[in-house]
Amino acid sequence: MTILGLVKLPKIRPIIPQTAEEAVTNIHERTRAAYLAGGTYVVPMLKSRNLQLESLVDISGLDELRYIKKNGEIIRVGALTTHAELISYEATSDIPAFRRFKEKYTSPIAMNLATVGGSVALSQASEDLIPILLTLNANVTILTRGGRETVNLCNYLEKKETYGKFLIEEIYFKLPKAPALCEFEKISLSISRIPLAGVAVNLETEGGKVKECRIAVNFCNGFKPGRVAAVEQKLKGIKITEDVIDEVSQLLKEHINPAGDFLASAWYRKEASAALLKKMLNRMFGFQMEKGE
Amino acid sequence: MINISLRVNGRNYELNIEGNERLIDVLRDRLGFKSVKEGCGSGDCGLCIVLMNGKPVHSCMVMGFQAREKEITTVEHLGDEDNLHPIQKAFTDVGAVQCGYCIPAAILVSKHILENHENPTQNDIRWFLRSVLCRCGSYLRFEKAIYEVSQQVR
Repeated sequence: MTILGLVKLPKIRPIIPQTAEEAVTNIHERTRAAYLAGGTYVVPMLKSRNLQLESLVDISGLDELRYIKKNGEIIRVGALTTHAELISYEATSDIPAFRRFKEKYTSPIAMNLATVGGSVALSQASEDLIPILLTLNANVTILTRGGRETVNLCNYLEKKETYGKFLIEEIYFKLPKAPALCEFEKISLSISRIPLAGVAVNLETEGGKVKECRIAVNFCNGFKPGRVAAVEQKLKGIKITEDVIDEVSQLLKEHINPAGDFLASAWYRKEASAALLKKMLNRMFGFQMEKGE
Repeated sequence: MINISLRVNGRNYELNIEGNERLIDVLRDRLGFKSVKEGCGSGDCGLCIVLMNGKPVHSCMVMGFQAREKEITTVEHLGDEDNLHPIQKAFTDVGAVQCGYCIPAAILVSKHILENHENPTQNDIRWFLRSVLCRCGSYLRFEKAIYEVSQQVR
């Protein structure tokens, strides 16, 4: 929450491309330009003068990037699909992680503007969608002047600075085999967009043991989300018990390096992330947490 | 300047706007719809909510040129003093209006809830109303007003 009322936006030149290719060309031709889709990040940042631009390339009218469809077990999401459209889609609305994403959404009306592509472009801890997509092993298709490239979201997060100027076209992921074991949980202040901590889990079990496992947190390294490989490796091939849950929640704390800020210290974020993982695993496997835990 | 056409409250407008004007600036300053208010300017407080193509959006986060060819509804379109919309009437009946600053946004969000949920639950109502920061804390009366209108509709 800021006190930005009555401050006008600085002068800016709008550019309205007709195709995704034209949008990429427009961005390349200018030095201080950014894409404008939902506007939930760019417009407030312009207003607060934390972002200084000369041009805005408005991609919000590119209907070719606005779709969500199911091909077999694969969900394909156009970059301009809004958060509201993603969570109300038949195939995704029943996945507990997306249900929780909706329940915990800070300002639900913003869902009608915020786009999936915008969350991936930002890839910051404030974007709850990123840990969920990481646990779904999502892929991202980007368009550059050289053509299209598809990268795994994990690699995208590590290397996105090296791709130069690009446009996110599509995000796709496979539906979880065991939807009940695909969860998300977060702690946030009621009106702050920034979660204090958030954890997503996607497990697949076979014969009572964990066969596949992905764990991701909002604050993995600084303000960046990421997967926690040490916890994933520990869980693979073993049976989940209360002792295992205690052990992996401790392990999570040791293998993340969150940033601290005025909302929460780094220590708090570690503790909260571990507690969220413990809470989720206990819930998923039917263990009761002790009062006060 | 950029030329846009948009439809506000059932009337078509053709406007030349600056690139840095947001939808809220266009609605308030150019067209005079003063029910659209600026609070935080960053999408947190929800005072600037209008309906764009039937969906509630924060008009402080939509650039004016993005609203081209869109249909916008503000609370001015719902009713007037002599002919209140059922939601407006319910708000006055239950005494939901105190300072009144957030009321246009709260009424538009209520309209969206009622149009999309035949029988909204307390959770549905509370979840949506999280988007509107009421400084007077009238949430329980908003909830009561929405509930009463939903009963009338049934």
